[in-house]
Amino acid sequence: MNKNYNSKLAIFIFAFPTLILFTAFVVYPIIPELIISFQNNDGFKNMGYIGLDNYRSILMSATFWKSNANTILIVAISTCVGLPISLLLALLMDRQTEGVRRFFKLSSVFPAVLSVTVIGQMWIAIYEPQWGVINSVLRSIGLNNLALEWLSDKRTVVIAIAVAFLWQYIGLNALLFYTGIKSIPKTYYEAATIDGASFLKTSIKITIPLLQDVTKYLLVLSVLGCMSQFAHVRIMTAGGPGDASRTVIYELYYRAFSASDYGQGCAIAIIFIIECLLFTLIINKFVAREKVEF
Amino acid sequence: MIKLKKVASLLLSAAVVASLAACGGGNTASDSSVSSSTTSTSQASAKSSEKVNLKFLSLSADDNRNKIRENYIKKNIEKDMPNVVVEYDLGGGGDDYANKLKTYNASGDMPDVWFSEQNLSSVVISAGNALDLAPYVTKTGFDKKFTMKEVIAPDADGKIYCVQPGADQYFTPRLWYHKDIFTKNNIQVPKTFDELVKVCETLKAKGITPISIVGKGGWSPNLHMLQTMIMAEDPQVAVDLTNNKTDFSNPVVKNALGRIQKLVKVGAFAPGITNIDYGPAVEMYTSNKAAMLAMFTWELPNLEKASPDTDFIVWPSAKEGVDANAAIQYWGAPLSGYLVSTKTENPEVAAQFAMFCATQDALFYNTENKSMTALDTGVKIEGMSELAKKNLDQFNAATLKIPSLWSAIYNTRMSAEITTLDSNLLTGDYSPDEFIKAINPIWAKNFDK
Amino acid sequence: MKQKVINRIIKITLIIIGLTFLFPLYWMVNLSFKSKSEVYDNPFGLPKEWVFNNYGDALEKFNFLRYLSNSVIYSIGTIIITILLGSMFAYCVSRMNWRFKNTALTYVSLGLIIPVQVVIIPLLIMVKNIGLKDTHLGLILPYSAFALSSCILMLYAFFRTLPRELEEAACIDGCNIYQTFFKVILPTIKPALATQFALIFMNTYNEFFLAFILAADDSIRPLPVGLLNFFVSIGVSHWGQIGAAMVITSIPTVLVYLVGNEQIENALTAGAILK
Repeated sequence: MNKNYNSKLAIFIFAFPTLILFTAFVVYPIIPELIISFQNNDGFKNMGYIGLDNYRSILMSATFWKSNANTILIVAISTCVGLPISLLLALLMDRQTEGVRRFFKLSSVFPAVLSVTVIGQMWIAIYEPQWGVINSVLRSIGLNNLALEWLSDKRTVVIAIAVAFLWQYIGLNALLFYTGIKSIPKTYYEAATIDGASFLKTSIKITIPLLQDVTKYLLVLSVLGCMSQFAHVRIMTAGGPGDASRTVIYELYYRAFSASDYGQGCAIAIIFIIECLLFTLIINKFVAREKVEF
Repeated sequence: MIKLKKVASLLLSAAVVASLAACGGGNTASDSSVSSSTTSTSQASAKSSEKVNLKFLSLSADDNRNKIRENYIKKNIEKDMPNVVVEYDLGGGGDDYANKLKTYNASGDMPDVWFSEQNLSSVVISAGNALDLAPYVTKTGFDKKFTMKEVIAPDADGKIYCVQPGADQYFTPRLWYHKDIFTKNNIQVPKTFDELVKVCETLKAKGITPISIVGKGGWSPNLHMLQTMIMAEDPQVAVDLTNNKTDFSNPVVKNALGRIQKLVKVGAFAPGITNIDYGPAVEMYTSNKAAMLAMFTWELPNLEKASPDTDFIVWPSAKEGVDANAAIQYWGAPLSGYLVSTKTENPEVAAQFAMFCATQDALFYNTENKSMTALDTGVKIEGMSELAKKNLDQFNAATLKIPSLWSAIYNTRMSAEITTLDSNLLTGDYSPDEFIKAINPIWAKNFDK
Repeated sequence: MKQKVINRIIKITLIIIGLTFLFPLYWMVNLSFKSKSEVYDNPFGLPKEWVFNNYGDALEKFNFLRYLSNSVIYSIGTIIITILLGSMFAYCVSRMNWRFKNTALTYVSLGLIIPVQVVIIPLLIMVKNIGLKDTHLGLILPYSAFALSSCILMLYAFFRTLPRELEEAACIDGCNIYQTFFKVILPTIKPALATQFALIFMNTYNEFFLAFILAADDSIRPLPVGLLNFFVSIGVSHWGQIGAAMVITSIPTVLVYLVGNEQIENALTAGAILK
């Protein structure tokens, strides 16, 4: 048997197509980006190499750091708030009758299935300051001074976008957690039931530790997915008001295409990739007890 | 677990693989744009019996552009240029559009003919990718058809890169208002800025949104309101800006910014204004939720149809002695129109197609929009409404016509920055001083070639 | 007794949350029956006056069937390539013995952090150079390349938990490695593959950015790009029609989801990503 698994030809046949496809369409394109990041380039013409100037002006721009802070806020809300909620929903769902569970499972994925355009436009309507759902509710219960201009207020806009994003994937994540719970062999619980352990206790002592693998997978996907957040911002606020809700990728898009500084856009891209690598390192180091296989 | 060293060495080896995989083609995005064009003049004289394929990229993000393409260009092409087969590429609008054109350019895959506005056109031209249309324009006598010669006048280098119908030259921003709402609330038409502020306060107190504007991305201040507010005090400063004779620290500019901020503060605009798009802004006016609308005259036919009680106010002046009627800004810009790629295989046919498009464009404005164009199509504009006539008379009576800073003067960097700052300004808590401090360094480079 | 009350509260909470997930569906359908002005006057209530021709008007503006069939081609093509290559690679990395397998896995994981917005221009040059511009494959290959990373990571995690006895049995029966993989292994991991099928479908079907740039020719455009005329802000404000267009484009995904829901769910529960 081992002969099969050492065969150079077999390894080549199994691994090579992926490597070539991936290299050609995902990795290769970074090289020209790296080169352009050292150029004064407007997207139409290279006007000369300028060394690290693009990197310097990016790293010195307040907007860039703000966009980083926004991105981190969105990541933090989605993972630190979103994932626990999903987990809780999954745990609760597990204890419900089949009917409720079926309904919940069926509905939970809908937001993730629909396109971002639909979701984004719907949230614009929900946040609308005069007749939107949120403010109508707030006003009807007398909280008039809490009825803010959610997407036009610099203090609330990023959180508002993060909430929309969180909501869209919370159901899908709950379902993934739930499938994890269901695949835990019942024998683990039998002892607990005999001991008369409560729902809370079994969850903390048995279920959650056994969900380690799912949690790690969702954590990585959620962090990296939020890092490259672009579409929601684009549709809901176009980065506004001013530059208050730009994420890193939005800032990249703005520099490269709106401001016609393709060189700076590429520099942001390179910095962004480095940031993502760092993030993954952090996850590996501090969060996962066993290293995340990444 | 990740090992950075491993990743780095892999990236390096991948680079080697990749450069092989790419067959040496287009190692950097910019190289391909510089590569010389293969245009040969022998191909130019394609016989009329041969089918010529052209790629045409056009804006598809506004109704007028869509109507021109669908109802005029597509319909008349078979009759007017039967030998041409057009592949239509819909480019969306705004940044999407610029993005698309840039990507095409970088990959050496420019459309044969495309529509672009001034700031994008000038980037393409400076990269040497736009064809000089002058020979074809003079050969066909296309330039003779213009009532405003400056619309088809050559650039400083003697070349004509762009053909356009000259409809934009007649578009100007107006302050539209509902006569009924004004009468019902006993409001007089404001003549000065201070009166306008008072009118806004009155309307606001009655629960009516005073002025509807497009706030998303600072659209209305970007496109005209800042300039309007400058001209309300001293039109000469707007002229000086267009000629690079002054900058944004000019006190008149500062006052203009202050006036916009003042309007925000008195609640002249709807709540959540920084997130209100074009469609909703117009709708807010036509559904009588807003008493006034700051918008260009290209919406005139729609406004009139949706709200028959519509009239317009001449922009109130902000300084005694300034005649608000005397100066007017116009939207048109010399390089907003149809351009042809230097890499097109059939320059002559492509140039003809560009001129054909400009003509169709003009036909649309003459017949459907009932507005004037500098290009004389021979169509007599019939059934112009009273309001449209009033608008045209007032436009013609203006003694000083100033091009729009946004459409004709700002480069892409400047437009992008202004977009951010105007959006900030509309929040009400961004001061004119901060605005000026941020914009001046960018403005200083606006006229760099 | 107390337990019962708590249980009921949880039940109601879950149902309410579930309903919020269905809200976009209601919103979209409701919108599609409203007149242009009512959308603003009465954004969330039922239409006061039902307008049915929004659908007709929306369909008139674009060639729905053509865009839909393109979307299906892109989705299915991407799914086939990604799942085939991804499962082979993941299997190779988890089972076969070679020196650089961990490095290779790390390398492929890089795909998770490279945003497609960043590489669009070189990508287009690439597609053009290999002669795939304006073909379906010109979009399917980049989609697959970008989908590979998460697919491989998931399948890899799954293979690790798969008992080796399966292959040993197959080996005794005289299967070579290819037969083992295609006849024994793939059928065993069907649940995981089904999950990937669903996830890739959702992503590819709704993808806009790459398709917008790469699919210039109208005849190969997918639905989201075909709908461009509806979804841009300037000058287009007929929300009734936009709603109708949104409903029409969403129908296929909703159908796929409703029909496949049970399978997907079973697949997930059977332990796709998870032990």
